[in-house]
Amino acid sequence: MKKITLFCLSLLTGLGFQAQTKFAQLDIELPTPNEFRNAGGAPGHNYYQQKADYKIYLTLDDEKQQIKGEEVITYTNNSPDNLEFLWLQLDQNLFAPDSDTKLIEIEKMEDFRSISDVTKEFFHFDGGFKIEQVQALSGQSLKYAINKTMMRIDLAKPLGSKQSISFKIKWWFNINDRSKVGGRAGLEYFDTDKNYIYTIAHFFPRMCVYSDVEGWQNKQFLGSGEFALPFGDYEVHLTVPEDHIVGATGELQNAAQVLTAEQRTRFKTAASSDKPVLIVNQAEAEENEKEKATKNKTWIFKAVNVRDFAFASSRKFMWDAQGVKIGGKNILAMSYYPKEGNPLWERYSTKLVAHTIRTYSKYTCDYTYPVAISVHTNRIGMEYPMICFNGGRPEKDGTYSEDTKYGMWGVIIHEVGHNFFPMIINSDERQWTWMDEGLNTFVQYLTEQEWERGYPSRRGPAQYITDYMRGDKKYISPIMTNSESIFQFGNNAYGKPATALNILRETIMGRELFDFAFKTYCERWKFKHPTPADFFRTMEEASAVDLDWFWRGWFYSSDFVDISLDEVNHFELNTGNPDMEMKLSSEEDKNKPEFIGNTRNKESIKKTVNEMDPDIDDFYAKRNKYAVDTLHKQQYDEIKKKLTQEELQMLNSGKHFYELKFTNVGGLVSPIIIQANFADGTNKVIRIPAEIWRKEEYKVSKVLIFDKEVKSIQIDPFLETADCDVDNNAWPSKMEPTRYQLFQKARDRENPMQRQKRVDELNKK
Amino acid sequence: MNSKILLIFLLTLFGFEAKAHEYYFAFAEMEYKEQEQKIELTLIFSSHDLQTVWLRENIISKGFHGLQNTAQSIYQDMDRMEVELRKEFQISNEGKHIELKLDGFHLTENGMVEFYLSAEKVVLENEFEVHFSTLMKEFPQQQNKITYRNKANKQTAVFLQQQQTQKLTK
Repeated sequence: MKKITLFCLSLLTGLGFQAQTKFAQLDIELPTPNEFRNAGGAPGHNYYQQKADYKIYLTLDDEKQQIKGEEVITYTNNSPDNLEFLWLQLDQNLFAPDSDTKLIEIEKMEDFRSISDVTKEFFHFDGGFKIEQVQALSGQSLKYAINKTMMRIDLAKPLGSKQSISFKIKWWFNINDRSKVGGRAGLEYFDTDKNYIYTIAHFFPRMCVYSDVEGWQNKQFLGSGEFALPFGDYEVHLTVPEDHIVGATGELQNAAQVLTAEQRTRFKTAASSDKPVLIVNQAEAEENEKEKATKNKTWIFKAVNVRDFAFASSRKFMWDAQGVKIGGKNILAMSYYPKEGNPLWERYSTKLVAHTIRTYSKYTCDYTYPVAISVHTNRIGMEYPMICFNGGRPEKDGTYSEDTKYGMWGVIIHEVGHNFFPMIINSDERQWTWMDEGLNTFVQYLTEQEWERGYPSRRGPAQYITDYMRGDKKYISPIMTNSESIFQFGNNAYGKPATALNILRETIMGRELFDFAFKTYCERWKFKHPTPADFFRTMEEASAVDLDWFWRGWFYSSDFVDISLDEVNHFELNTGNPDMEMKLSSEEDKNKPEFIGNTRNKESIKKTVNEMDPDIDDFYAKRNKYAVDTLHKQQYDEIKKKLTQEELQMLNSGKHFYELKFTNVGGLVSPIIIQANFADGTNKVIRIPAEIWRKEEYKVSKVLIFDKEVKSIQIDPFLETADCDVDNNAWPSKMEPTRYQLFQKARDRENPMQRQKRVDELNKK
Repeated sequence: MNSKILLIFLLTLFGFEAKAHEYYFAFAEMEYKEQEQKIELTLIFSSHDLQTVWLRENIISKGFHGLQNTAQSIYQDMDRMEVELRKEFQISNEGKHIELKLDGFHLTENGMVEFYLSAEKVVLENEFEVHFSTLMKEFPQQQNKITYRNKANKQTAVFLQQQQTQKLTK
């Protein structure tokens, strides 16, 4: 501890000037605001978006596992531009034999070590769209060109602004078996009862987005970057085997033709029930899967203002539903699952769907679609408007692990949550995965925490991202990286943005400001096409928090948070009162550690010369340097006369000054959260905003003043900043235990092998 | 150069699913205790990723949850897990592999599985090599990472398909 003597001088602070980087405003990084998207992040006064309406007739061939379809697309050009041609997406061509997806995979000989590796290489699947016809409604063929996963239709004359065009396409394709060729959609075969579950999507040529941002978004589908799709209205006629149960995007139009009277009654009951009601129960589904119908039935669905359409069809399906009231509307939450999904699915799926759309509506915007559906699959998780395909299958004996349960809960919440990002708040997934996956994972975390207190969410809490973010930055992509070029898709596009938003909400903006701004973004961009800049700008405009440094650090760089507490120095005020200060100095002198030679000399030197000869000690030797004399008192009286009563009180307040020195090791600027723990067992938390680094980006210091003496200091005590090295966060310094050390400490719980040894020993007895 | 390739006749199932929320990330936390001449290591995986692969390749007889809570003998599973982990995580000191022993494992609530390994009587050279290629064969996007700690010094290294071995300094 040191004493500080105050000078009554106003010192000018010397400022060194250096280039501003981490707090530089985002300028060249963001597009110039314009009439379509304004500077505040909202749609501009001339914002437009295209409309694509579909009427589709589809047949599912259960014998050949094929889809055959015909569609009429009516495309409306709301842009101010004349369009010379139209671009459509042929995403099924990802499975075409000449697909680029496989060609661009990096391969090496180590990939061909086993016979199965080689067999896999030669596995042939005749996937991809077989386009049979592209015609005007008049029957006249339209000229078209296919470039891998994109199809261009050339128009006889440009499609002018506010004009519409209708045309017809006919196609078929083989449905991919997900277990053999992968895929976001496809079929699963059940050998035990020789039946299929079809989860079908990207099954029709779909219009590309044309927008003010990119013109035609016709970036090829390579597999990682998902979809960019315009909104429109759908009428879909699905012809499937007569004994199939079908769930799809939109509302069923012909229940009287496809459901039994009993099913229709149950459906009606479910709509007004706040708990799931079975429309097809397990016994009925098991009975249904025994025989294979030879006839077909057509289910008709209509969906308004959606960006896509998907469906699931099987004779194995159980089906349950319940009503959910949101914003004055009654939404049907529903689930479709085979007996293999039980007991988990009947118990949880629909309740999770209902909880998800309720919770997301609170944090984002109201769910306005009429249905929200969760369909059981073996392992995948994939989202479409109003319907998603989710994993989570118990063991064959009906038991399941906690991991399976939480996995199923998490994936249902996540995929149903995608109804909001990107189905309603319709960002461009092919460019920016984080805009839907990251935002969705963040709200998924909020939703999980409202489902079960202490829900073990895998992503969201700041400390879970640190293993990924720390250290070597070479192989970490900034979040603002195109979907196809990201290292570490899951951590980069799901985990890191979800963590970043959590940090904004909990630490930087606070819940109130964050929630308002986040909801503003969702309300502004629901049923529209937002870009990253619209998100960044809205969050700032609606909160009055300058977040450019945050976007720059978390979204445009691969820096990580590692704030090191390097040094803590303790000071107290010199009161000037000689009675107090001399006493203190004397005590400090006495308490100073003694050099070992001096200690030993006390024993070994019986008498020194000056102890034996009284003539040796002079004035200096005899004086008590800590004695208070009249001069000291006079000087103190003079000081007191110059001070006001308040200043004198301050001088005698006994305050403790702590100078803390920090280094920004990771490069990512962050607020500094400091917990001072006092000698009396109490503590105080001080939150210093990130702007402390605005002029000094790597080294800063801060003086904290307390009435009490501090025993220890901890930074980031609540693990809220994603600090990647917590071993430099404490004074006095302390190393956090490694995972291995924690395992050793918990060894009284013993590992399974040790436990087995005890069981064996017990059995021997 | 023409080389003959000797195929291993492992008839593993080769099914994969493109979007099953694999995590493609594994992490190692390694500490060298110089005084005790001991290496303590934790390997952390998404249990979903690893379990899928290990069940498919018959490395484990049941899921990690089942193994953790089993009352039956799991010696064989532990042995096989140890062998498998050691195949794709290796520490080499002057060209020799350090023999790591699997001390236990733990399944965390949020779906991660942690394996605890150690090696005793190890004198680490000033520079040593770590090879960490677990799950890289199965998942092209797999990225692994290590944080190495010796007293207050820390290093991190990233392992990729193209770079499965890294040099670290004691």
